[in-house]
Amino acid sequence: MSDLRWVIWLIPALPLLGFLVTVLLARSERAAGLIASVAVGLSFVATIASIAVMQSLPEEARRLNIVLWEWISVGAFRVSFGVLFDQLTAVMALLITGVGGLIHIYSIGYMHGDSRPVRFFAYLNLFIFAMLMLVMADNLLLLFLGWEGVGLCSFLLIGHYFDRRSVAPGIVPSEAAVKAFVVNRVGDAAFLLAIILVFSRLGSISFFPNEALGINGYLERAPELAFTQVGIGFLGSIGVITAICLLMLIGVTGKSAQVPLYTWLPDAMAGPTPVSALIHAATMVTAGVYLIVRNHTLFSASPTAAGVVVAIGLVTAFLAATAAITQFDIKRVLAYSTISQLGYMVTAVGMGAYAAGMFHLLTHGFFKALLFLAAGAIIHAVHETQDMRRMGGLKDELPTTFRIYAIGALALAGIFPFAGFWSKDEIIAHAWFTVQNPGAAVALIVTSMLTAFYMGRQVALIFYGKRREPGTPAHEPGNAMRIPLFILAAAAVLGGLINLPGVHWLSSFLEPVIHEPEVVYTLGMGILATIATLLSIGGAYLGWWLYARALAGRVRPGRDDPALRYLGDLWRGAELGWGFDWFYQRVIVRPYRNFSQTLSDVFDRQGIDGILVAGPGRILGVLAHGVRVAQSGFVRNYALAFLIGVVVLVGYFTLAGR
Amino acid sequence: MIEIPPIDWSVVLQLCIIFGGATALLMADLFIPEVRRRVTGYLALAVLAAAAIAGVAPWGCRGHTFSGTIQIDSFSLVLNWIFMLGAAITIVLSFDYLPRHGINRGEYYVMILFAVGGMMLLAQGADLVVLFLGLELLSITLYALAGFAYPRTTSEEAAMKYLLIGAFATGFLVFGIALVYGATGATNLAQIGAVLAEGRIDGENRIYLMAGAAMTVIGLGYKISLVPFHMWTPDVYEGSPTPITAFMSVAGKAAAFAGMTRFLLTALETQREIWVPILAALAAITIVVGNLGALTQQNVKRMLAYSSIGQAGYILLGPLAASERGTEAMLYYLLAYTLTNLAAFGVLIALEARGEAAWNLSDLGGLWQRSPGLAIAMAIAMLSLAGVPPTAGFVAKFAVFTAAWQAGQAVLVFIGVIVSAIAAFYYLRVVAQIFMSEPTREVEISSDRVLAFGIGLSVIAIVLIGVLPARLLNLI
Amino acid sequence: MVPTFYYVLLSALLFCVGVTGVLIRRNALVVLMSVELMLNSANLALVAFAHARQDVTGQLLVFFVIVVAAAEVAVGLALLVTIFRTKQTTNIDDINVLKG
Repeated sequence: MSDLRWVIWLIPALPLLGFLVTVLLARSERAAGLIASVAVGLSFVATIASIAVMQSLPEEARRLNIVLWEWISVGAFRVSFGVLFDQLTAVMALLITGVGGLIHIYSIGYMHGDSRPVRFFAYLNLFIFAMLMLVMADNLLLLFLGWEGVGLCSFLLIGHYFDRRSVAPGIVPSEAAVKAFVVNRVGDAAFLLAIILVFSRLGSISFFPNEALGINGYLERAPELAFTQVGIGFLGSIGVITAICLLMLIGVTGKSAQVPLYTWLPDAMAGPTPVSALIHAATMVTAGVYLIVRNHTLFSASPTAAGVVVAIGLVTAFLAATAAITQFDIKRVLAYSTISQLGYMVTAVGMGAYAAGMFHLLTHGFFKALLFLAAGAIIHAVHETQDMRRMGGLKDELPTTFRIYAIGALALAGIFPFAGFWSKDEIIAHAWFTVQNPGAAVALIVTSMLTAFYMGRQVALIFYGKRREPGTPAHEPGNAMRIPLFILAAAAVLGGLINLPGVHWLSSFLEPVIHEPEVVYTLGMGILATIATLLSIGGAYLGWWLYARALAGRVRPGRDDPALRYLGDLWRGAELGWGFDWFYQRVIVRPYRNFSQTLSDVFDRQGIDGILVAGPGRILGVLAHGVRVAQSGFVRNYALAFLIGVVVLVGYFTLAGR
Repeated sequence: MIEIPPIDWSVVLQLCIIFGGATALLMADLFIPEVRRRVTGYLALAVLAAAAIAGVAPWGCRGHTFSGTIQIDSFSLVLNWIFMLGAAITIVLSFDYLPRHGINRGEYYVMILFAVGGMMLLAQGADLVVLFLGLELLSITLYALAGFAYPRTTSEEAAMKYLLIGAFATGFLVFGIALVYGATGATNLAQIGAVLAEGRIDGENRIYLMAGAAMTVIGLGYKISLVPFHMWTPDVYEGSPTPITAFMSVAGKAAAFAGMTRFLLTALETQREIWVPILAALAAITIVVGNLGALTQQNVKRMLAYSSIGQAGYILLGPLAASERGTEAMLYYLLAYTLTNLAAFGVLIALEARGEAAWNLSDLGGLWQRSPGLAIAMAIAMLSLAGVPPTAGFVAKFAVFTAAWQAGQAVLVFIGVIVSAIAAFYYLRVVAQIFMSEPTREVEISSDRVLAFGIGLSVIAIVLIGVLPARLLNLI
Repeated sequence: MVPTFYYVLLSALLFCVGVTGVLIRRNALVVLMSVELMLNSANLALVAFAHARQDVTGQLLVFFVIVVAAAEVAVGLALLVTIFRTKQTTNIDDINVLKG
């Protein structure tokens, strides 16, 4: 079977081919959609074939590495242009081509009648190619190529609706696209520094050794440097591995939308909904998690860095969940939810629960893609409205979509036996029992409760009550959109099977890559899972009850959330004997709501957005203005600046050279 | 009877072809009617091609002649090819531009050839006298070319500013050379290096040497737009005819880097601990100022001018590494930058089809709908300038960063990487404008085949040497 | 014999006069003359050094500098004429369309 190894090349090559064919030949919407979908579908088949080829090999040889050419070779600095296919890559490639293929098919229906369909499908295929390069790269530099490539495709796709002046209030697609790219570039800059540091300290940037080319692998050399320090100027010194990990982590916070660089993701919802599903939920944003898992030997060797990873993951998971509660845009709720769930995954891999992190990455890929696609169906059904206050009561008009959405919501909320329950629970159990960090576990449980709450709220706002803005009747999606939804819904229900406790198909499959010990299940884990699930059910019910029953009448288009304005109705509520209601509102919801509103205000609008994006932006603007004012147009001023330079340089040379 | 030392013609063969060809072309142009002016251009291309081919035979050899004032080695050969490539693409880009702007005069091509000769002198010079001569030959032809579009006032203004600042800088260069000569008694770079290595320089000679070295660096540094000697750059680049802007931003810069590298690494090799810190600081300031200036520009031509200042700062990381790796990285960067900038300016030239300025950011709006080829070319050029893989610009940046990092310039690399992230903003804004907006006003687009060929060639090369740089880097 | 140092001092002074001229004079013609002064002060230094070292290289360089300076002035004057034709001025402060 070894002669069949070339098949792994087909995985990235097919979408690239699809991209080229779409660009060069496709002229009609139909042709573009068909070519693009077939290319990704074939790539999915190639992935399965590659797994078969890999599994047919003896166990120690199950890491296929094919080098196409030597990319850079200068002295000791040698970088191959080659693909790597091991178990971790296989899992990622399955997700990318599988979910990606479904989203392609869905897009045929969703993008029907779009003014630029060929462009759209071409970019989608290019994205699949770049994403596959990212996960199949056999060295950091090639990974970086994919990393920037997916960022570029994301940039191009976010701006797809440029002619709609504003998709969501206050967001201009082309500006959102540039913002996404530039924020990501900040992370990428740190990532690039990490690559340079890896090369200069570990002597190679290939993950694994390649005997044929005589290239070393850096991952196995990491433990040697566990105690080596590197100076960081006046701040003293820091462990080399820690420095590398922290720099990579900054890259991860950009790509995987973690605090403090997450602000681009909510705005990225300006793109078409399939793009949000594919890029900004299922695949691209998980690249950071993949990066950490791929470099887990480094992160394991540096407890400091791993601790920072956990802290960032937890803060992100919690803050984003609170922010999701206050959103009215259907896609922004899901965007914040994605950020929060990515925080979950980052926390997991930071704690060393790599299999659990990958597990959650997969199940999240299923149900979040499902939710986005279903949201797309809803948005279509109500004529491109995204504001949930203008929906309501769609349960009867869109029964199929309602059921599908409910499945996705239950899976996201982590309710037994949906996919999200298994993966989320494994992370919580790992936090509590394996690393014995109850604080983290409690934070994760609280977050999952909030998750359940905002999903309950969202389902209630969209599907329950009465239609708040009567218009033309909503319609169910067509077949091209419905079939991918059904498949993803099945995955969201059954996704937990791939890593059921006791079976552990995923963990044992990934074991050769991540070397994680088998988890032993105890009664305590069962109790913890039960508590977490009960809390989630409670949260979901509360969210649903508040917005479908208690406050439903006060949700109006263009008005604040009723829970926020509840203070004025306090007396009447008490007079009417709404004891429980009053209690919930007064003690839990309102302070909490105010708190979360404040947080999302501070951190989203002024705080992190302000400090990191607008703040430096403004400072840079002032500085740029200064540079341009200095450029006065008077040649004698230029000569004066020149002379100042001369004085400095000649003075320095003569003084230093004495 | 004066003994004439034997001359090794193979060392100066390329120079002879260029200068001989330029002189012959000047004559020949008199007999070519204006409607057939392209013939002059094609002849100039032939001269360049002949000179480029003449560089194949001596590949791998080292040698010098004219009493050791002119040398040949792989460094100079690679640079000569870069100059000729830059000049050739510039000529191709000019065919359509000149008649549209009413400046279709044959001496244009001749002067480009003479400028290339000056650049080659800078790359091949082993003596301060030759470096000076090369720089001046380059500068004076560029002054004339910058003002070539007279009586357009911006062109005249560009030329005048360039001339005044250039002449001012020449004064410093000559005085610097005089002081270095006074301190060491030599103008030959290798001899200066040898004298300094012996360490016999003290007292007032030491002061002469250091002041002279500083002034020589300034004289070359103004040409690569090192801050604070950069201020002529945006004005001159904006005012000059666009093909000339492209030419001086790439080939002129490469030549100045050649001279700078020769001077620093041959003559001042032993004084490294003196010049490295101050030049590192200047490189950092250059990177920051150049990119800041470009950040809020609405005028794409001017934005590219500021961007070229920033890029010069990055290129300077190569010589600063003072290692073979650093020099290789610099050469690769120069090649990548040459191709990228020519492609970008080529697109601007295509937009100037009506003979008027059409380089506002909004003029690029919706370019994708109007001309997909140009849109893709501009997008790839911008991505390459921003350093996004798999373009040549990324490999180039990565190469200079690793070289500088290994030379211990961690802080500088840090600044460079961070600023390059910010710089993505203004490059990407152009791409966003191209793909994500509607055309604002009707801008006529040139459909000249030769122009399209020149742009296409550059773009393909950008991607090709970005994806397959190994062969090339080995070659260098 | 006059020490070389004095020559260098004199040439440095002349050089500074030239630099000052470039910085403070507005007439392009005078600015070009100031640049000439800078170049010629360098020539003085070169000749002095060559004399002190009894070496011909420095004197050789002076010829190059003179030739280059002549070429530079030729281009400069040509430009000045064309600018005077279009703008009716030789004041370098009046040529500042390009800025920002």
